Amino acid sequence: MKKYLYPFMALALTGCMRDIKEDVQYPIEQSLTINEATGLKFEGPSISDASQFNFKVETGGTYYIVIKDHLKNTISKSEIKTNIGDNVLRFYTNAIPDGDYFIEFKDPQDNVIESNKITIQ
Amino acid sequence: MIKKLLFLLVPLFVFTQTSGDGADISLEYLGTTVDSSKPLSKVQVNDTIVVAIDISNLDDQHKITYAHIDVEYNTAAFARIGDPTWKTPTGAQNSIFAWNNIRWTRNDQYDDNDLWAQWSQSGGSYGAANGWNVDHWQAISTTEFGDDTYGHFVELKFKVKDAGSAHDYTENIFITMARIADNSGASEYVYPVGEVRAHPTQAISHTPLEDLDSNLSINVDTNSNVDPTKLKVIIKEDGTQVASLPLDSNGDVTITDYVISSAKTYTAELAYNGSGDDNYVTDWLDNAFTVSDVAYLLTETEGGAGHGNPGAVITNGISALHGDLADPTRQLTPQDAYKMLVHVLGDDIFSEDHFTKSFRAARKADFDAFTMNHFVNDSIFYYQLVDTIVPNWSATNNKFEYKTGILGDVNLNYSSAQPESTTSNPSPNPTVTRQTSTESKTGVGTAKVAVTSKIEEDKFIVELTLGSEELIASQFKLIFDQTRLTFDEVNFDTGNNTTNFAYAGDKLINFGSINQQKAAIKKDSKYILTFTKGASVDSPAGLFSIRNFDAANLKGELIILDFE
Repeated sequence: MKKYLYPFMALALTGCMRDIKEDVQYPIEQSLTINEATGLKFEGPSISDASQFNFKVETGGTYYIVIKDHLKNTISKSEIKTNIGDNVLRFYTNAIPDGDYFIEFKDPQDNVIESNKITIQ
Repeated sequence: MIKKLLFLLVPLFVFTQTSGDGADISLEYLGTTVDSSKPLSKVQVNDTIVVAIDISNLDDQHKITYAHIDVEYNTAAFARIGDPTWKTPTGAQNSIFAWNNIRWTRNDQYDDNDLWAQWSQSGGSYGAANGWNVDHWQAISTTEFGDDTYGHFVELKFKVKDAGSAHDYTENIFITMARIADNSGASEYVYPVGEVRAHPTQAISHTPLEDLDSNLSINVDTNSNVDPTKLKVIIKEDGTQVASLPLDSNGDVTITDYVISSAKTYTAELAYNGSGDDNYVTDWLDNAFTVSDVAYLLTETEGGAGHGNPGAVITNGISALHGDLADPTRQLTPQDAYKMLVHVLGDDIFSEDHFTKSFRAARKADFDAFTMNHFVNDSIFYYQLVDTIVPNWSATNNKFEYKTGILGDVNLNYSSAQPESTTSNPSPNPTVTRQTSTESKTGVGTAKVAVTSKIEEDKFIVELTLGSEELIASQFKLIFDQTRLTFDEVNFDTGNNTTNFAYAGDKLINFGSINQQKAAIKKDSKYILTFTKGASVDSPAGLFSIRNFDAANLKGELIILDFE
């Protein structure tokens, strides 16, 4: 009978153990790697919903992502908080009609830091 | 029980019977001499049709080297013309002889399509009959028939005649008999009774259409914001639909094949060809009928021009028609402006069938000529979706042209343009055109709007700030990612004298303001939209976009918004 109890006791002890949390640093996808100190890189010239991009900066802080249609009309603008170095984020497209767009990254003084032309599919 | 079933099946079997293992003879319609693809149902008087007599040998034990096939035709309905084109093997001896005013009396002891029995067995005969001719088509060859890929024995041409409305066109071309034989052996083999069948087509029974050769087409002119391929034309003949035809990208459609009689009444009805009434509302109506239209009409009826003084501000007759919604009385009144305001604030005045209730078309000439004087003087103007098509049949071409508009579109951003000669003072004096991905609008100036968004804990917040102190009205349509966001609310900071509105659909929020006190919306007015975001959303990029926008100045003129 005892031999049946040992496995249950082991399970019970394991269940009472505290979860061990680790800060995992996931490597950046090779396609998003930026070798220079600053830059902007999307997964490709065409992106779909929840594609990633990397916005690499030397000065962390607040920046703005401005989405302009192919006629250069602003259709969306968002504020992001960045760290020094790589900032890999997702770009959602469900609310953006398919087409060609200009993506600008601006600082709070409205200076364009990086820009790119992408196609949303 | 089985016998009963057999009796039921026999008539059907006889009707569709082939020779099975003998020879099938058939009339095959091959189009007209000028249009080989023209269906028989569209053949008109004075067309020349091409008809082949086909032979199909189903007997693999014998070769067909001889055929004699008789075809009778009604001379009031058809005239056989030209030389036949024989499809028999090279070297075959082909012949034809014709009898005039003769008709076959069928042998009722055998099936009509039992072609060798009809002739070889007693019971049928040829006899005098005015108005019927019989052609005897005969060929004999030393080699097997069938080197023509399509099984054609001979091709004939018939001129189609008008035999009069009382004429019965049933079986006016008809195979009466056939003798088929194989002479390749030591002795002739004649395909026996029951083994030479007319199948699948023994007769042609077509009532020809009138000889109407005019090319008929419709053109529907639309504003560049209205895609004509999302419209279609429904053609009705004496009230019965005969066609539903989408417009092409130029707004054109050909109706020649459907308007085919001078004795019948045809109507053309313009209908929506997009995917449902909801899309019509989202894509066209809600963008055409906006707060700037309301502001424009309010200025006409309540603003500097005084109350109900048509022509003082709005100078365009079509504009006035689009705003005359309350009665309509051919007067622009505060009630019209109020009704439009109610709609823009979210109380749908059309409620259902939005296209039929709000989209309008008029003949191009009438539309182009319609002025404010016509509006005020209550001149007759057919502004509707249905028109009667009356071709000039002696003309080579008939093109029916229309122009279109949408009720509520007072500043005409979704309606056809009139010629400058009609609108010498075009309303409302546009000087700025702004093209976006979804529409093109013209206004008298621009105003800045600051826009930004950010994630705050579990919320996503979008903020718009008006940068002008000249606006009396503003309206925005914002699309959001409904798979990741849930809309919570809009907070307005627009001053005490401003009426605000907002209504949210599944993925689009329509919101804005209008000041009805003849004063501007205060500068730096804010619209703050709050959403609850999904837990996995860690980036604000692309969660919303501004689809359409609209604004008006203190004169009710359209202002183009410039987002920054």
